[in-house]
Amino acid sequence: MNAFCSVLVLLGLIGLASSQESGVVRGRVLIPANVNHSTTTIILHTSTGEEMRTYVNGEGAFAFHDVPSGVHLLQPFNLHLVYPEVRLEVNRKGVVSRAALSHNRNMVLNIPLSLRPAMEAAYYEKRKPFDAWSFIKSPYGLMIAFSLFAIVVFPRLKMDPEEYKEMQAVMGTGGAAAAGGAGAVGGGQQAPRLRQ
Amino acid sequence: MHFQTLIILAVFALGAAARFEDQAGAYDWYKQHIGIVSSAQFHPSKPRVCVTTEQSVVGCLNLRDGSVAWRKQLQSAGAAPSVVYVGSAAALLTASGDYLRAFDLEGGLKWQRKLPVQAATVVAEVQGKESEKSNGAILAVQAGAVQVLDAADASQLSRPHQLKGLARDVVVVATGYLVAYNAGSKSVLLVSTSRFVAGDSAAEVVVEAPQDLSGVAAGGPAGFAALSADGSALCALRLGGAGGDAAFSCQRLDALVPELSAGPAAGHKLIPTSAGFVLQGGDAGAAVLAVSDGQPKLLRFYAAATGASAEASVGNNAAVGLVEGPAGDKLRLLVVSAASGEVLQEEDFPAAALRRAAHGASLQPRMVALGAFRKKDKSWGVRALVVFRGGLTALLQQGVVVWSRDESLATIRQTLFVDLPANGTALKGDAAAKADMNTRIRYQVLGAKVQLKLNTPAEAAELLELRGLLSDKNTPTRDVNGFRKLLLALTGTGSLVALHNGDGRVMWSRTFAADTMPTRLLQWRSYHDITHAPEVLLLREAHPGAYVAAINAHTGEELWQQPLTHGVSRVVSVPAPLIEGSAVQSVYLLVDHSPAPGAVPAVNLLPDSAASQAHFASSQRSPYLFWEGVQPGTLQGFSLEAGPAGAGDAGITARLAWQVALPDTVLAFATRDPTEPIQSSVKVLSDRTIKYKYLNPNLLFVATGLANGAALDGDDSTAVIAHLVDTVTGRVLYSQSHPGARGPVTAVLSENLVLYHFRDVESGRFVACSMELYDATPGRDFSVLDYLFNPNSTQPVSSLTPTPIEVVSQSYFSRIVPTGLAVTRTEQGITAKQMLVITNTDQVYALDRRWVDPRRPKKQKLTQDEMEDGLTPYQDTLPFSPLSFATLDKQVLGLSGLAVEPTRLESTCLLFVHGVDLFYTRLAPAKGFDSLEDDFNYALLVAALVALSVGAVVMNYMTKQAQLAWKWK
Repeated sequence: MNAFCSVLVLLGLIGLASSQESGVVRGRVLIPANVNHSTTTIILHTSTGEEMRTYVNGEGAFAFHDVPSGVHLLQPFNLHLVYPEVRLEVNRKGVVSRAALSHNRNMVLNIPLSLRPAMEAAYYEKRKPFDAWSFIKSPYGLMIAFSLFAIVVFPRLKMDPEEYKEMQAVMGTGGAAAAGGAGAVGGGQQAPRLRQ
Repeated sequence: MHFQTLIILAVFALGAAARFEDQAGAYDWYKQHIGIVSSAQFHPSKPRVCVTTEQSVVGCLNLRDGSVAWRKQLQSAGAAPSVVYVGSAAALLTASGDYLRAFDLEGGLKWQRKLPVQAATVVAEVQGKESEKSNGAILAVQAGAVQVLDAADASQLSRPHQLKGLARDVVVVATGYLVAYNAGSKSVLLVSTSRFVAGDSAAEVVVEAPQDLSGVAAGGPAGFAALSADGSALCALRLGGAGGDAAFSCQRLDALVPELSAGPAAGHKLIPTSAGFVLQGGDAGAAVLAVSDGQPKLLRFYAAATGASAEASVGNNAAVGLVEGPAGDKLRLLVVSAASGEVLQEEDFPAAALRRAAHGASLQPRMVALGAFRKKDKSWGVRALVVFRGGLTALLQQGVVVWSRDESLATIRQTLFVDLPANGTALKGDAAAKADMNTRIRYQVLGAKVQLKLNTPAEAAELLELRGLLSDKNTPTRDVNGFRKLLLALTGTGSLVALHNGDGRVMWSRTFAADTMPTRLLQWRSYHDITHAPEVLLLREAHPGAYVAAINAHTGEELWQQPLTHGVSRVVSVPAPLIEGSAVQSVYLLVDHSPAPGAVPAVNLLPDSAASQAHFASSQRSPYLFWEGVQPGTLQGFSLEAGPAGAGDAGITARLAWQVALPDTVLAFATRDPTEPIQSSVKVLSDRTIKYKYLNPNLLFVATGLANGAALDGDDSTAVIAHLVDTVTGRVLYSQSHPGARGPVTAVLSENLVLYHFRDVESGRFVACSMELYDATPGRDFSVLDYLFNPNSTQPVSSLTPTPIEVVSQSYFSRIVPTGLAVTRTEQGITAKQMLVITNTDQVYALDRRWVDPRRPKKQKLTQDEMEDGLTPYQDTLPFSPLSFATLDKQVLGLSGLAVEPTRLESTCLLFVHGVDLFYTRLAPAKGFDSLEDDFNYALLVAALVALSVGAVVMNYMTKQAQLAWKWK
């Protein structure tokens, strides 16, 4: 009798342990507060090459029934979020024996599945806030900067003193030569004046 | 959680054609549809109407403006679902394909169950067990299998039954009974539903009808009724009472309803009411019938009624809504008591607005739904959702058309881009009003603010509005860049609609009756001079009534129509069009092929003129036909030979040229578009060596493998094999195998690149494989001098003497699950291509070709040469970035096809995506390298120039002053 009872208890425990329904995959899709479930779709690609689809209820819960055994790919979708794909192994009893991220099988997920988004789906490039440096780097900024540089800085650029002297000298001798030439042609009137 | 790796992966991706948020709507538009409504139910508490459609969509529309509150697609292949509203559980129950689903009225899915087979399903609410009256019990009948489910949680209320006798054409649920029969037969099977609910074995009763019954039948509280197969009599079956006394009685229609003209049964409709039936005879009026003692009796006949609704309760009355008209400018809604047949309420609605919205399609109601509401003065008012045959859906209430939606565009089958007229004479569109200078300046200032992020949200909205106002994208004439086009769409409702690609408005529309509905839309004739309108061809293959007709693409006018005497099973385009003066005439081969083994296809030329025959006979490269043979995995190729010139109707003969048996099932085909522009037939590598692309126009890609849905064997020995076949000789040029892979396979062949997707069984992930094909003929040199001056230096490539192929191939995991593949197309083919991946989530992903370049080196540090080649380091997964979605943040529900059209600017092409929704955008695969953006901000440029000039003047003055001061020193 005692033995019979213990067998019963054991059977009960086994029953508890395998309380998961056969062929059923359950889970929940989590979303941040600013997104709704209107586009949430759960797609299960079964190992037989078929596609099963389901949607979620108001709380984000979903369930697939009659899932065959094999390795399946679970693809959660929400238009405004990006979810990682999940690799599901369903054993011959129809129970999910392992759930892991498909791109890294070391990341095992708990069952029932709780699917968190990896990131928000940004379909548009974000304009950067106004930034003086980026404005300067833009064509307009470069044009303005270069012109200002040309206007303000170029005139103030100091010349090499020697070069400056040389230039002065050239200008001086040139002027003197021109004056001399003029004097040679124009007669002797200017020279006495200079002497005065 | 550990999703960082994924984020890194995603961030790595670069969006080539990414847009800024303030550019949304500048080059794109999106129209949300729901499909042709097949059933409707007004929401019990909210101002909404919940509908199911023939495109397999279930959803709710707002009653105020007709916008979509929520919607869900039930299956990808469109078919109207069987639907029942369960009031006690506040659930919409749909049966579509092999799924039974229950939605709450907010769009959440309560539960879903797989049905045993994929077949038509009847769902109905039946009375539950006595103890569980609060929950509705659901009866789902499919191919003889009956399930009784709880509407709240889909738990089985009793064990499933299998009744072979129920597997009939017509299954109708009448109160307490299931009635099943085959259309055109007398034997009717009756099963009591209470037995199913109780879980007892069901008793089947077979009743013989006096006449053969048609499929037009209805069951309700008053019993079951059906029209006889010849449409001359109405047969009613009294149900209830003791099991044995079910008996048919047939009454001649001309005796019952003398006014209703006898016609084929198919034109009639029977609607059950609480007191009897409404018999609606197409447009010939509706009879309100009461049934007493199993005998139908006419209450009243409404001769002008063209549509009738199901019963609804208006106050204390059970009533049906009848639509009369449109007569003159009026559409009349009558609310008729089901018990007495008398008119309870009557309202008139203006038909002119509906006519405008229907674009000339007929205003015959195809479905009417009646709903009642309490007015402010506590009296009862009614509203009606009317679906017209052309797809127009309108809400009528209190004498006004509250809103209307043209749903015919949700059924687009084929599209074609054509040029708009060169001047505005042919099309009278409402072009944007010319804006004044102040508006333009304001637009520029706002644009500058937005670009510098100094704007308020209101200013951003104003910018969008002004952009629409100032843009010339909606002008109904063609532009220099070829951006503005007319988009012709052939819909499933039998209309040819011309949309302007600027905003998707309808320019003209032409509707065909059901028996002349065209099935194909083809290019026909275009002109180089601007005075002629392009012509398109409509083709109807179905016999009787097969025809071809040419349509003026600018006005929709039919130019000619010609009946077809032969069958058409496929249409093949002759690669080179026929040039006739300034006209470019497309030439087609109409192939009539029966699937019987050994059958030789009959080929007819269209147009069948001497000129086109000569053109076909002299064309350099005659097309070869191929298709899958009778046995799966067999390919057949046919060569075509033109008859002797001048022989008149000698026509073209097809001859079986080759036959190839491939292992396994064919999973996908891909061929090159023969009109695809190819800029260069060589690829120059970084070391200045040259590779010749393999550009065989007769190349066919075939993927074979385990059929979809077939279970794997125990040893998992499945493989996808990719074959390259020459369609002239049937020779398999190359094949490669992917062990451990299976379908579904999608493939595209563009230039010398093949891209195909399949599924890896072990990891469960999808894999993209790209193959680049090069001509590996040894000793082939390239000399610029030869190329320029020696016309004989080119080497002809023949399928009959095949050249060796060099194939470079590489595989990547893909996060995108494709259902179709296409490729962008530009005028000259210079611009880098993007692969357009149609995803299973109804989006289009634009994947740069460089990501699937099979030469991507497997190392992180690239050499100078590799960088010069534009290669990126290999990664096992293709980049995934939401920025690359061509459909932006839109989902094109039920995506069924896309059309790409090049513009005259090399950088840009146009993309139109259609399904239940429509989406149009402009794509620049390599960004707009040859034009300034449309929203280029001139204000900033002008501001910069003005600032420069002012600065120059000021500085000039200051310099002078400074020089003066210096001179005085």
